[in-house]
Amino acid sequence: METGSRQGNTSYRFVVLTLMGCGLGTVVSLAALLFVECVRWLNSALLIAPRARVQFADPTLLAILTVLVPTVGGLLVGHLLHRFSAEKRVLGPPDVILSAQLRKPLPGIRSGLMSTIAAILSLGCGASVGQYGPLVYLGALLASTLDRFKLRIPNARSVAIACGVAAAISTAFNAPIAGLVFAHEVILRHYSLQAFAPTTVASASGFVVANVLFERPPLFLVAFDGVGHAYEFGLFALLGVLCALLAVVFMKCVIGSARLAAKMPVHASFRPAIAGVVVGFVALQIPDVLGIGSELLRFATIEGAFSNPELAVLVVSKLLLTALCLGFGFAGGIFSPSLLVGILFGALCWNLLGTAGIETSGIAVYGISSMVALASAVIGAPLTAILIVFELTRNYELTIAAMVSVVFANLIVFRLAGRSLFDIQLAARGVDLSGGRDQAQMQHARLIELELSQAVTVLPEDTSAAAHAKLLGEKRAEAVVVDSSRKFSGVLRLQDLSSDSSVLVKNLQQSEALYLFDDLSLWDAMNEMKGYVGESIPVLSRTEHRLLGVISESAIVEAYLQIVHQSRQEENDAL
Amino acid sequence: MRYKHGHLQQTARHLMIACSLSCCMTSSVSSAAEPVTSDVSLIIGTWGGPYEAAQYTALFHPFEQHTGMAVSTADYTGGLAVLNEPSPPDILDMLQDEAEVACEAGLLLEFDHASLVDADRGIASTTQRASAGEDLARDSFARHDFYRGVFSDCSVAHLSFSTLIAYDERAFTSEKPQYIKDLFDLERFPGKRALQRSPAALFEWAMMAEGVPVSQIYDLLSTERGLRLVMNRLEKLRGHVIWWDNPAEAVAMLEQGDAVMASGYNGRFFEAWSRGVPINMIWDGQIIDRSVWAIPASSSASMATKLAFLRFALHPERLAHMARQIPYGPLRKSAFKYIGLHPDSGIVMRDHLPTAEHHLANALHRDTRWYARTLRLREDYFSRWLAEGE
Repeated sequence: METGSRQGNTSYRFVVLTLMGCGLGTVVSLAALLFVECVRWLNSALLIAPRARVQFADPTLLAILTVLVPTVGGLLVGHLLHRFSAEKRVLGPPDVILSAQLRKPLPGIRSGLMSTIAAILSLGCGASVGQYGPLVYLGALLASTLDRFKLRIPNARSVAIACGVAAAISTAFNAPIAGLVFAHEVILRHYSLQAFAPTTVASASGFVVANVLFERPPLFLVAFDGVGHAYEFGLFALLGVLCALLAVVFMKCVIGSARLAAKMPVHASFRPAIAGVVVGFVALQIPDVLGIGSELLRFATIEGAFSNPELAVLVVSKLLLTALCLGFGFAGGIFSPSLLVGILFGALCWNLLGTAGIETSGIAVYGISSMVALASAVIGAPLTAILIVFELTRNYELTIAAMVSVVFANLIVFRLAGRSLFDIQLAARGVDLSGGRDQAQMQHARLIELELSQAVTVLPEDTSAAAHAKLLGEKRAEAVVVDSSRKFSGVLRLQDLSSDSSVLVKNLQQSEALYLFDDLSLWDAMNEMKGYVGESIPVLSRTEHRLLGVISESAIVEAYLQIVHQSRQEENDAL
Repeated sequence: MRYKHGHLQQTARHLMIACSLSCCMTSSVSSAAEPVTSDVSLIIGTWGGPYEAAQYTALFHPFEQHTGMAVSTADYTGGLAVLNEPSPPDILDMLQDEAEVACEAGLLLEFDHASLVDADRGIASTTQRASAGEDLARDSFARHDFYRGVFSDCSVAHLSFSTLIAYDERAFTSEKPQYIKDLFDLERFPGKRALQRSPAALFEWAMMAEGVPVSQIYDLLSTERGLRLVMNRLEKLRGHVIWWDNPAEAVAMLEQGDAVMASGYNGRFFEAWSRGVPINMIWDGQIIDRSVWAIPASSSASMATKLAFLRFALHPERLAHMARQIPYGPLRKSAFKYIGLHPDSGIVMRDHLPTAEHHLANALHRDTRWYARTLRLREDYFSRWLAEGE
């Protein structure tokens, strides 16, 4: 993605970006449909789907397979990722966010493919994980193949990624507006027309392929006639608050489970199988926990489908199993399990309201509000969630009710935990997006990447006179004091020199002077520099404190300004 | 087994018939004087009533005329019991899911579908109208003229029919039931329901009444929770149901005012309606199913004869002729252009087919394989529920 004089003109960019949107939208949509179809086929063939299980004649064999399938699936997933992926882990939305925010290329195509296959296997063999995370990555992965072409368009990579992601979500949910908004809200985190236009084209293309060519019905039609009582909006807000607390617990469990897995004396490639065994044995008692659970999602909108204890058990078991599967390395997302936990929790809350004798407008609105409140808080996408409700149910009243819950849930989770699970996971990898992308980019840019200047060096044993002569000769006001092996000892300023020319430098130098290590990020360097006045700052190697060169304050500020400038340009580009 | 319609008109040896069909001979209809013995006739097991009458007009009689072969019919009301009898009918008009079970149990003969499709050229050229014949011949060659899933190992589907609810117009003078959930709404639509004593269709309807979209009906019915919900739903109807076993009873119960709503087949309801019986059908939640031709393993007539009949029966014009008599949808695309008006009443038949566009808004296509494999489970739930009431 080049910038500068060789950028194409406006009409060239218009054509390329439109074609990019159209092409990516179509390809990603087909790939996403293939992904979903593969998972569905595996679920049927491997006796995960209830419709397949009920047709299987031998109950003993069914029980054995129920445990065996997720276990073997776990083994395959673990070895696949460990042997054939350079990252040795699942790739997902955090990697996509990282690439878009820091203008970095995605991990290699091979790793991406392995991660996608691992996700199909994980979902196919009934692990309690979601499909939307892998689909988002699949969209970005296909978009990243455009990296090979020199498109001569600024920010082409992040625009392409946004297109891929939008098309994937648009296809998976049959919701083009939500796809468009998700790409901006979660991945790009800005709304420039340059990205917005092709992303819209991609989202629409995905929708056309999924809907017009293959005639897919809306994903989640429910009957709802409107909110009956004004006080129910207060209940929706309260539901949002409760969902926020549950979301925080959920996120903590996922992170905690990953920590637990890392501590276990088991090789990483065997960890998913452990989660698989647990899923299998739980499924013997509660078969509902297997897979994505679209049947449960539907049941949760039917009054009387569950008793309260059943709901409580399902909420807890689905939450814990998802945390276990994700933490122990099954490949998959967190969004669909969040939807499921959310809707079951909403149904439970509705049941309790009924027990308390409060009149309500039916179970569907509580289930769905809770569903999107929890899920949106976990992935940090309130606007997307609201639009998903709208596009999935095509019901305006329902959307308004859900909106209230979504907003409260997101507010509270933001305060308690952070913007999303993705951001928490990225922060654990050293990328803090909480201060905005400028800060993240500065945290990511290393000082060593900047050009260092040659330092004027003096030895501690040099005399003041010799140092004076050297400074005058180089026309500099500061010299770095280093020993014979270039180890840093201090800084000598012109004004520190003594009138007594025989005084040794080591008695005059500023030993407390500011220096920076080469592996510091630009952000840390800026923080260290606070209150600094001087010509240039010595840069040292972290291990041996050897002098590598010096850097001027202005060079650091310039690098900062360039990052800010690039970001502002990306966020405001029209085409 | 009772044999009816002994239309034994003429003689023709099996070989000759087969030859006359496959060799495109147009002069196969010989003199119609000599009586025929039963061992050279073809016995077809089918469902009686207006359905069988339509089959006689559209299919059996033309077949007799065309081949010189005699056709007689045997009463069949579903199930596999008939297949275990010593001399079952030569050809059986079955429900697709039951044919699937029977096939797996080895009770039906497997046959080669290619012979049914490829031979169309011969049949086409024997029709009287040359232009239509050419047209047909061209259309018929392509196997994709048949809808998907028509052919399976032991059977070939020939028409689609609908199981649905009809109501007595006289019983509901103000608000009329329109949706399948109204079947379970005794407050707004009080009165007896005449329902088939079987979990078939009833379970699906109970699930639909919970607001489940048709695409998820079988997924949810596959779970214990789904079946529990069905039982709860059925419980609301307890004491308000009259059970029927023969589809003719359903129409009779509505006609006589014994029931205000009844489940049944659209063809029979249509027939009653066109006779002026004040009933109407609720197309919401209709369950579309297929009838298949199958050959019982222990049947006696020669294979060539039976295949000759199947080839004849699958001809687009035969299928269309059938649909003119009774509103069951042909399963060949080319057949639709030959459907016209009902011969007696002049009703446009296309509008009354289960597969007519305006009937499909909330239609469920029966998953026959699922049906075949969950038969016992559903029967268990159903009979336990019936027993609870006794």
